[in-house]
Amino acid sequence: MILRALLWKDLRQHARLLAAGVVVVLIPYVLVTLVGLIERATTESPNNKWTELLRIGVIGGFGASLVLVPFFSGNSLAGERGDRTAEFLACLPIPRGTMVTSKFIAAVVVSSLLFAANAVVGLYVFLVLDAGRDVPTIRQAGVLFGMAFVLFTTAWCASSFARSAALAAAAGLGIPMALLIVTDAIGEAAKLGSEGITELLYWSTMIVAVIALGVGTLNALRQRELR
Amino acid sequence: MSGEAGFVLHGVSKRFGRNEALRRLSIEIPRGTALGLLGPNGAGKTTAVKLLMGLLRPDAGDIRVDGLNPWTDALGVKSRVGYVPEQQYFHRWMRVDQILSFCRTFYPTWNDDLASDLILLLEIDPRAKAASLSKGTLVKLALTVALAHEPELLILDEPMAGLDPMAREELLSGLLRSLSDRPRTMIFSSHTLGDVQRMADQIAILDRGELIVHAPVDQLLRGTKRLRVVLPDRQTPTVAPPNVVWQNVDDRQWLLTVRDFSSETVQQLRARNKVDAVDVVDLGLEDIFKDYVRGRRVSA
Repeated sequence: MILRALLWKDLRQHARLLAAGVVVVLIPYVLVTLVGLIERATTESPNNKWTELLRIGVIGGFGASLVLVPFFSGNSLAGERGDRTAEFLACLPIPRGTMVTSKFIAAVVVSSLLFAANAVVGLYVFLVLDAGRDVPTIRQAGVLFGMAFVLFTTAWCASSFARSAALAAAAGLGIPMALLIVTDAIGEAAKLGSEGITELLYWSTMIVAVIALGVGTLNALRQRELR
Repeated sequence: MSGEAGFVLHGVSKRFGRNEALRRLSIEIPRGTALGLLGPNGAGKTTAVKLLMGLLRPDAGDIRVDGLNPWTDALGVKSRVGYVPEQQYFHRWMRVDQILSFCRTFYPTWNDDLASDLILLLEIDPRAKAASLSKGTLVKLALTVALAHEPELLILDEPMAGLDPMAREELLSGLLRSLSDRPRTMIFSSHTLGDVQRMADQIAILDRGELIVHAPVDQLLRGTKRLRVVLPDRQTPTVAPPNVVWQNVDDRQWLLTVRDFSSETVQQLRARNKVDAVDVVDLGLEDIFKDYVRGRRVSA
């Protein structure tokens, strides 16, 4: 009952951000549609490239969804600290663990929604329109999930410390980017080769993601003083 | 439990960096008592209240609320105490009825009928969004949330701050009416001394983190007097009577505020000093408050 009420509140808390997210995810689709329409209008014998354009749209949509993950995750804890509604919640008899669990679930659900919507479009494009000719591999899907995971957890960790959701989202985007650049440079310097660098990137980001998740959650549970 | 005091602070200290917000504060508020907590800005009132609500951890001392330690048993304390904080931070997108139904989830003792009655009594539109409510209505809503779970203990931290006189009067009347049905142990912190006088049985005055007086309101009003003494020409006061709270000499006029006043106070004053005349003046709560704070600052 308590978790349900908190989930209602936490999901609703992301509503505006989600609406903005839908617009952002739609941008690649709008762009490829415009390209298709322009091509049709300017070419005398238009070659039907809609499937190819939609493939680009789906990939762009996934990219946009990925960029949005730290915004949802960053908003989860820092958002209420920023608008001080956390002070209202602190006065209510709510178990801290339940509160943090609800925020975590809400951020995961909202972050997954855009991916799920893209996945539905993607499945239609790759399996039906493209007749399963060039379906992304499990490995590619794994990379996408791994990137989403590290973006989510670093923003979650930053959100447990920050007073601003924007700052937490920026940290959630910036830290993994910096990590990728540094790890890549280390791999290059150590002459690990492309396979070795990929392996190094995978493990370094996963370790950072797990540490960020643990530190963020513990910090969110620990913060009880309302100064 | 019924024999225990509602709120107890014993030797409680709290520091924020270099600033010592509370210094060895000890105070006990018996059940059924309404305590008016007074003090200038930065006196430590809100810190004391937050410590009682388990929102801050004391650096030293022991705190009990209904026999519970608010830091280690914060949920128990929060579900037993109705709390109106100094500022209301409801989710702006929630409607009043949504806020109430959200809050009711966390209180097993929530009374829906009482919540509806309070909404009617305090004239709050249940369909209005929190973002559209005035400061006064937000305080009324906070009061509704604080009372609807029928707590025996209440803490109101400067609820009247920032309200216009009309809104203050409406809120105060509503509060008095809603409190009239059952005795409650209450801490009421405010800068508006008239409001405190209407609500409180006892007064505690804090200044710079220390308790400078704690007494029943009637005893404080009855026992605290201003002595207006006219000294002979070129004469200075020799010895002040006991229990002087504050004093000031200006030419031939010697003003003293004394506590625990009795007829002996004037006799002692006359016996120890050459005086031409002594007037005894009753003081209101505002003057008493000012004199206690001024007196402490002079002696500190």
